[in-house]
Parts: sequence; C-alpha cells; structure tokens
Amino acid sequence: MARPIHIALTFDDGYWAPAYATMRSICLTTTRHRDLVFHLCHRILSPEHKADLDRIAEEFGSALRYYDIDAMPLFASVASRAPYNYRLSNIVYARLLFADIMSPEVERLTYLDCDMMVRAPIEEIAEIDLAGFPIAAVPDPFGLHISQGRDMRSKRDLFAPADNYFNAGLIVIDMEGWRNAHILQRLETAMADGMMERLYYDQDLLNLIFARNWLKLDQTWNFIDPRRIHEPLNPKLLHYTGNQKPWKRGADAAFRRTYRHVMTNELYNRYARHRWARDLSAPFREFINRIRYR
Amino acid sequence: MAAVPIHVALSFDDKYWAPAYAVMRSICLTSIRRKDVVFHLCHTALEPGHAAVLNRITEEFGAIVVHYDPAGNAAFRELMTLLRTTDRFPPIVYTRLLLDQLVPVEVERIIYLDCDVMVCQPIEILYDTDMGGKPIAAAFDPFHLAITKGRDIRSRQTAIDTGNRYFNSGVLLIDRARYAATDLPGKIRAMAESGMLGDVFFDQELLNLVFLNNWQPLSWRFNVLMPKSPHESMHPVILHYTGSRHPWNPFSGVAFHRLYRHVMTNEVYYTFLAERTPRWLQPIIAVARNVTMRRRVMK
Repeated sequence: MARPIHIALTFDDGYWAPAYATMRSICLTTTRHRDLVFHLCHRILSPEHKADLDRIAEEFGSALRYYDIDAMPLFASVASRAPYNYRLSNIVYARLLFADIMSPEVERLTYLDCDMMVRAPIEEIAEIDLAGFPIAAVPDPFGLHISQGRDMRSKRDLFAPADNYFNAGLIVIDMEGWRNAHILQRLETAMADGMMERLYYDQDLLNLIFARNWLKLDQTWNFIDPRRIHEPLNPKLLHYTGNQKPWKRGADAAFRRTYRHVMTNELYNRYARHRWARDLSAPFREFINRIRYR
Repeated sequence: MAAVPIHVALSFDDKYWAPAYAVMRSICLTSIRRKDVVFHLCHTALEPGHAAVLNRITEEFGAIVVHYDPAGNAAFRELMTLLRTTDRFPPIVYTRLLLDQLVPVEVERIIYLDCDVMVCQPIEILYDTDMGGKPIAAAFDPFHLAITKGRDIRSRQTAIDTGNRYFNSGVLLIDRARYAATDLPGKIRAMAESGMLGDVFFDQELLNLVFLNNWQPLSWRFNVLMPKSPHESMHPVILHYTGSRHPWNPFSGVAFHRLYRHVMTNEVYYTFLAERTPRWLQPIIAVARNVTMRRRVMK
C-alpha cells in the first residue's frame, strides 16, 4: 500500500457541510485520494450528517476515522476551563489533543480548518520536508495585531513583534515534534497562571509554544480571506476567514461557484436550509436555555 | 563589531507629525533590527510637543532619531525658487531631491519614505535589496499613464514617453554616491532654463525625468498604492495610502485601518484627530476616544 496521507479536521455538527466540502476538495485535487486518511474530530454528529461524510469514502475510496471528542473526558475538561470562543465554539481546542488521540502509526498529520477549500494536490505540503521543524504553517497577515494587541504594546511581554506569527488554520505536523512540545501541559500552565485569558485562544498558544520553531510555507497554501479579486492569483488553498463565507449566497468569496459544486448543489441547498432553521430558532432556544439555567 | 545601521529618511511638516510617528513605529515593530535604525527626520518647524512624541521612538525601541531643517540648507532654498508648490505639495516634498546633501557623509544607502505609508514587514528586506548598480530603486506606479498624460492620456505634454517605465517616488532606496553623482540640482536648473519645469508633476516627475531608465524596479509589494482590504491577504511589505482615503481618518475603509490606529497608538491617533476637528465636534471625538480605550482587545 502506498504511504498514507493523514488529514485531520475538527468540527461540530453545525459545520458538517463545510467539513465535507473541505474533504471533497482535497480528494478532487489529488490523484492519491485512495491514500488519504481523514481523522474527523467531531462533537455530536447526527446520523444524517455522518452519512453525508461517509460518502467521501464511497466516492473516492479514502479512509475515514471518527473521533467523538465529546465522549473524551480530556476534551471535556479542557473545553470547560479554557476561554470560550464565541465565534467558533470550544471545538478550536480539539487540535491541541492530537498527541493523545492519534494512533502511533500517524507520523505526519496535516490539520485543516473546515472553512477551507484546497485547489492543489495536498501531498505537496502534507509530505513537505520539514527540515527538522516540528510544524509548518503560513504567516498570518493579521499576526502583528493579534500578537501585539492594543497600541501594539499590551502583549509585548508574550510575543516579540518582529517574529513571524502563523495562522493555525493549516498546520503540517510532525507528530513526534508535536508530542515533544507537551502542548496540554503548556495549556494547563497557561490556564493556571491566568495567561490564557490574555491569549487569542489556541492560535496564540501554539504560536508561543512553537515560537521561531516552525517552517514557513508560501502564502498560497493558506490564503486568508480570499475574495473574487484574488482569483487570478490562483491560490492553492483558500481559507475563508471573516464574514465572506462561500456557503453564503452573494458572498464576495473567491471561487464561490466552484465551492458550491465541490460541496455539491444538493448539500449546499440543504445546508442553507439547515442554517435558516437554526438561525430562526436561535432566539427561541436562547430563551428556553435562559429559563432552564436561570 | 558595531551593527550596520539602517538609514531611513522621512520629510514632513507639522501637519503630518502623527503619520510620521506611525511610519517610524511600524518600522520598529516589524524589524528585529530596530536598534540599528537611524531615522533622519527632515521637517520644517515642529511644535515641541509633536517633536517630543517622535523622540519617544528612541525610548520605546532604541532607534536613533535625528532632526534636520532643510530650510537651513542653501541648495534647498535655491531650489525652492525654481520649483512649483501647492497646499498638497508643499516645499518639504522636495527634500528627497537633496537627501545626499542633508544626511551625514557616512550614510552610504538610505531609504526614503513618504509619511502616508505603513511598513508591514522587516525594513531590512528593502534595505538589503540588490540595486543592480543603479542610483535608486523604486516600484512601478500603476497610475502612470493618467499622471503623466492627463485627460484622454493626451492633455499633458510632459517629456516622459508613455512607453517608459515610471516609478512612484513615495518609497525610494537610494545609493548615496550614485545619487549625488547625478547632480539633481544642476539638472533641475537646466530644466528650469529650458522651460521644462512649468508642467512637471512635482518631485515624482522630476525624479522620473532625471533617472529615466536608470532605476532598479522593486516588487509591487514594496509600494502598494491605495491599499484596500483585499490587499491585506497579499502580504504587502509597505502600504502607501495615496488617494483621498487615509488611515488616520475614521471610517477610511483602507487596508489595515484598525491596525494602523494601534500602530499610531490610540493616544496619538485621537490627539491628531482632535487637532484636525472643529471645536463643536470635539465632544464626539472625546466619546469615541473613551469608548475605544475601554474596549477589550482582539477577542
């Protein structure tokens, strides 16, 4: 058997469709789709949504491994104590557990956020020479502001301003180096001494842990906030940060139409209905929760 | 062994003291060689309070700040009798033409920056660029046709052929010896005598005329003109806020406008804004300042 390409995604049930699109974009743009092993770290996942994801194995012959992180006491412990991410939920901390949940056979892992679309063979980065570094990533164009805070001073004691700061949406991981970084211990220390309250969630933490110890990838492998105007630049991996999401009709997102076809029109429309129903019922659910937990 | 200094020149009048501070601070924040940076500040009379803010760069980053008044230079005064100025292009914009005469003799290479820029990556990337034996390095100006030839690309009759490459003069890397050897003042005098100066588009066109086909092109990333939000993802090195939208104005919508406020620091940003605002609007500025100062950061 050819060497497997291990890919990890983390998502909750509300993001199953974008996760499917990310996976399908990877499969569509490589000839090695049978070598792909998707490690899907998810929170509660409905059977219907899981069936959607399973179609990747049927269509491309890739392997899928599911990890129900809500069933893991370790994740529950971390997620309940770490600062809550109101935009993305505490699923963001799931990637910090890779050292504990991946089997030892996984030596190299490529992590991707679920708001991404891949447009070039993933093995170009998944199998890149890491030159002895534990991880590879792309510098974040917004890194200066994220790492320095107010007046570029409030976090100066944590981050050197001229250091490159990576975006954690794409990380190529050497699992041995990742394990040796003792990420969970560092997280525990940061939560205990209050530093975590000053950090931009797990991304800041990873940048602290791997400061000056990561391989810089070309920006084309994590093109942040891609708009239609960027299409002629032909980026290899699009990262739809910000508000312009390709699953929203009318969004100014690069390759929006391609994305719809990658997600497949049936799922694209079903996901739109799912979001409408969720958004319409949100105030009601909020009201019930307030009464229940008052 | 002493570190090699990085010389950077800015020229501005008192109206641009705060943007100049933001340029200097952006350079110091993004370079690990911040202690090697020597800022050569060419300006006309500066309020003592404003000069004190600029000097804080030394305190915060260890960079050296040197002040110059070009009005004290005889060659500059002589040039000013020949060159056209307006409110938007005051005499100080011509300082870059005489940089080789203003800065100390030990300066071999110097970067000139307009004060409406923000540096986003280490300045040494530019400073260490191979100049290919040319006196200056600069980035192509994408608006050159309209600038040089005006309406219908025919209304202005300048000496520059539209087929020639034309650079923007807001970001320049200068080889001091070759720049001095060009004898800019002499060439300008000759142009004045032949009547060529009347319609020239200020310092930029003068430099393009003098250094025609004798400049080293830089990547567009070193001088991104009129940057908007889509440019943010493109890893620019230097943003150049030309046009009518400037990051020191609220609601400008330019690239990294929020980052710019923090690079300038909120204190300087709101002080500068208040200076430019009529008295009856001052209470609104005060409210905005208080709200901003109390807001949580980044999350």
